Amino acid sequence: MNVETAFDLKDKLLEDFKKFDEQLNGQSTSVFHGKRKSASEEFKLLSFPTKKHEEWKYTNIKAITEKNFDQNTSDLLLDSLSNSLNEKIDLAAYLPEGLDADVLVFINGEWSSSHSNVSHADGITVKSLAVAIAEDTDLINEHFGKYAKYNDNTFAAMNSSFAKDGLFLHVAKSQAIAKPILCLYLNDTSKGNQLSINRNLILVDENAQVQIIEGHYNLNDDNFSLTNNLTEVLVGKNAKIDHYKLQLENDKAYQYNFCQFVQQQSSTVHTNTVTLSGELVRNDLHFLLEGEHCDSFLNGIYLSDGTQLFDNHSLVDHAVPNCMSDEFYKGIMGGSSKGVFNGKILVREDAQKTNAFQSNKNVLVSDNASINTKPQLEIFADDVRCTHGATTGQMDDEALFYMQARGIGKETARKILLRSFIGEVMERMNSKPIVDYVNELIEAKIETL
Amino acid sequence: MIKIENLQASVDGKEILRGINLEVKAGEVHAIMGPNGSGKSTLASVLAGKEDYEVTGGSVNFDGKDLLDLEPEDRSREGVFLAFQYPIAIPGVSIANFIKTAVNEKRKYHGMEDVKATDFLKMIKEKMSLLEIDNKFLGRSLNEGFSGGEKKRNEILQMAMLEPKLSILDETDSGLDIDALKIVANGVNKLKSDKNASIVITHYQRLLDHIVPDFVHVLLDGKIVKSGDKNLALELEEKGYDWIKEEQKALA
Repeated sequence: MNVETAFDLKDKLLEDFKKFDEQLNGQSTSVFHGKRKSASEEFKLLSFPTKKHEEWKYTNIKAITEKNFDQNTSDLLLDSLSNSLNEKIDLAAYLPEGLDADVLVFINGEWSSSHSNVSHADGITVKSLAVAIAEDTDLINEHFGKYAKYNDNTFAAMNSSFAKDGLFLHVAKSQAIAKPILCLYLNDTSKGNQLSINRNLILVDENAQVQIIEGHYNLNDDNFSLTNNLTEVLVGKNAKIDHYKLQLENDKAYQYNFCQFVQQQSSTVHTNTVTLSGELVRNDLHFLLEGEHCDSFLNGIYLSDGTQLFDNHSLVDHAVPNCMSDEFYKGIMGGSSKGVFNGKILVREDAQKTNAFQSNKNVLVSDNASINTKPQLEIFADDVRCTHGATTGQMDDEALFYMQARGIGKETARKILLRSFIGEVMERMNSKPIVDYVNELIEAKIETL
Repeated sequence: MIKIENLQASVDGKEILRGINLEVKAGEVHAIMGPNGSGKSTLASVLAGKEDYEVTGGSVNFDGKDLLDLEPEDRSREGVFLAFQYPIAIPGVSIANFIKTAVNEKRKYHGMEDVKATDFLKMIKEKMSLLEIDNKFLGRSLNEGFSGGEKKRNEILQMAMLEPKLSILDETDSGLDIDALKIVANGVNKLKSDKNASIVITHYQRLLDHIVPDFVHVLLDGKIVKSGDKNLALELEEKGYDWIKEEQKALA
């Protein structure tokens, strides 16, 4: 028997960073790269979480950290150009019908200009972060890395040390974007196990409005993929964001996803996380409400089967009075899949008159599936209204029988019940093309459960 | 239409039906009355095919078929309809979609194509006006937040749309005020023909003022112990069930 030293992803990534650092010539002294270096220092001190880590108790990532993943660490702009020489990928499957959007395509974490299609409207900057680092340096230096904290978060530190491309979106004051922004993150594993690091910075100024859709896919299943996606969103006074994250990678895909919203006064955010595939998906969705009279809506749907593990962690930090947050997540788990829901609501001492709601409901459709759900309320203010609830159940036999007694076959009845269970979250989504697109995917997934 | 012979059933090992014999012919209305716990609802559930009940003996012949051998959905498709005492709420499923699915499942079973959307709408609107149901009803989630009267009217609407041969109405009067009861009973009467039949299960006589039975049976301890015409129901209303129990004791 061969005894090999277990491969360690962290060591490999530190090596990668060294090479990355060395090959940067003119850029190596930039403010931006300085931030990457600090993150790398932090990454060096941290280790990938094990099940001993409270926040990772139910999510074992050994399968990830024992694998070797390569990323493209060579010069960014050149890569973007070389991507444009790539064979044309048929994007039809990733474009929701009826969605007239500006499309940004990222392949293995790098912007592909030839696949992207961005219109240029006044007051709106939509571009690759790699380009923005050069062209919008002041904005980048002011905001990049300011909102998403990477202390005690290995994946965030990792993302921050390798950040080089992703979406840069800036909507200027009082602009309403007519076209939604669609980001497609595509993993190509044809050359080996692939690490894709996406780093997004979204700045929506006062009174501005925007709809953003993010879709995660694999182009092939030759090898494994690891996606590390980090998004910082600054939501200005009275601004409105309608956000969708569609996680549709394959069963050789692992994904870590961290999204930090910072909301200023009277802003509104709707975020919808739909996880239908991927072998392991971990989401950290954080909200900081730092201006009064904000509304935050966090909707989530997850349907798992096989050996999939979908882990949704969220934190809503009510730092000031008079805000409302409403979190509503529903999941169906089949096969021997696992679900994790951990929803933390933090109401700080000053945050009087906070309204915070949270609900997580699950249906287990097989004996081997499981869910660990944990609402976590930390309330330091006394005049607040917080409600939370979590339920986990099996199929409702009474409802099944009722439908059978009307001549509806058991299998059909089951599907109708599962669809209607998820339908309650779907009703909260605003975009008709996305709702139609997701409904179709859910329909297909329910067939397999 | 249906011939029940020596039907015995138990739940969790406890015997509830202890040899039921009943024959219902097309065009007839049979009422089954009895005190609480006599097995009335069990009989309805066993005929509809609820899994919780184990049939331990006897047979049920429905239009030449062995009813007990059929899955619940096939019993429905063959023409058995159970109006539930407690209809189930299914959030997110509209009444219109639910009934359309049920109608099409039945049609498929009988080798027919799906009903055309326009025909379906026309048909359901006709039945709704027959049952004095508001059009807004169609878009509502099935039984969600319904009043007792709305739930029961919804049951009868489904019955009207599925056009069963045999309807079993399980305590349809429970939870209804007199006005709602009249509307529901009127609906049932309007759907009555010489080709279909009903079994009306009830605790009280008052429903039978509106749905007049051809036969009344008294169920006691899982057995039909007395049968008669509609006057038997009136007698039970007046005297209760004790005199029948006494009669049974004397016979024993």
